[in-house]
Amino acid sequence: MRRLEYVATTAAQGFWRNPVMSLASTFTIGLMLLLFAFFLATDRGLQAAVGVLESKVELALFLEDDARVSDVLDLRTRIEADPAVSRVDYVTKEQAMARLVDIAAKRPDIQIVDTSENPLQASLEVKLAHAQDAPRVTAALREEIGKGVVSDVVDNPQVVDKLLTITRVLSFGGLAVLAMMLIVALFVIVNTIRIAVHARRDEIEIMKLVGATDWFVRWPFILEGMLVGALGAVAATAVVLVAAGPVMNAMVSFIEILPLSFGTTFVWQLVGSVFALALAVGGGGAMLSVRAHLAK
Amino acid sequence: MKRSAVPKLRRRVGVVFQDFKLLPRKTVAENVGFALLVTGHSGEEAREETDRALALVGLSPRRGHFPDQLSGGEKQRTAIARALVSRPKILIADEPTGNLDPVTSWEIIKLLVRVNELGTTLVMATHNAEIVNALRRRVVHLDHGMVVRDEREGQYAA
Repeated sequence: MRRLEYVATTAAQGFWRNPVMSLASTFTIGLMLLLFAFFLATDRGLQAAVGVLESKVELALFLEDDARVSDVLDLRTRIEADPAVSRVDYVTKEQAMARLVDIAAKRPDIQIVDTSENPLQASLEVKLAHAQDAPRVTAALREEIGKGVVSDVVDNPQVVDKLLTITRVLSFGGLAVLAMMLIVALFVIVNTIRIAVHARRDEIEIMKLVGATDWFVRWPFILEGMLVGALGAVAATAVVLVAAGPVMNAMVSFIEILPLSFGTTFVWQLVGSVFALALAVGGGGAMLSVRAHLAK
Repeated sequence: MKRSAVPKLRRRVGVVFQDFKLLPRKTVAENVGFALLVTGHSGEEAREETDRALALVGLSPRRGHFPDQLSGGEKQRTAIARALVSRPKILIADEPTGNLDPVTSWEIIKLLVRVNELGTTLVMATHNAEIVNALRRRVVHLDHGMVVRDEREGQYAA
């Protein structure tokens, strides 16, 4: 208990003995964490967007009017056997017409004048589990054209392709920026603690002289580093919580199709990750710094 | 020897230096008790042992003073109390009188002799011929790191 008190007081003293440096490193860590939080949120949003678009990826196989139902069902069974395919729906000529009528009813600019004849084709709608498989599945299905059942294959995976590329680029770029910020934060922490160590060098010398263990010497500084990290995390979290609402609204109105609202679970995960990273960087940086001093 | 074994060993060896190595922001009692507090002893234990050590070196009345308020001899007595507070088997004194005037030096030497009589082995490095000659104890003469002489009742030889 006595020791805990000693460690805590020494750490707090170290922090306030050099307030400018402590606050500078708190600020740097806070900035790094803010970037980290933004990166996590963006990544999460993009993943959600990819998920939504992926679930919408569909191939349509338009069927010849004179195709035999048994052949169509046979084809459907074969398509369903592909692990990349999540679902195949058979849409008859009548259902296609009913859909069109439905759509027209909601849009005053479209009017269906005559429904006596049905020009629409029956189709098989293929839903894919993953957008990446779209090109392969499409190619395979195109082989069926001209064999008496399939008249055309329609796909539109470019949107997903682009989104996947954006996600990859952003993930990579984000990670690179984050790595740089991490190094900067670590560097600042190491220097802050080095100053704290320097201020206490006589005390450390005597501590080692009378037989204090390395860990006893280290703990106050590690705690000071963690304190800096935690304060940075508090600042970053505050900024995130304040900014989250407006930013989210802006994003939702900007890209309406994406369901960009994060659940509370995600928010807690985010805050948890931010604090975990903060303590790791603060404590780790301090450890590096003291280790260098003790090794002398 | 493993690095982690060093602290344990240091607790059993008291050390005193020419420049005292006291912490200026701590009082006499705090400087002495510090040695116990940083090696995992309780506050109560530290207080008791500090009282004992300060009584031994005759500094009990000055316990609340800061190093700046002490004379050279008092500073060195504080340092000796700190070295003795953990009841070491050996006390190493590196030029303990190097910064002190002759009269004060003798006070410190008398104190160290008393510590020795109470059962602590004393190893002292010094260039003070007068002290060496007066004590008539075992003298090990080092020259450039080599032992050149070791006598049971030695004299100083320049």
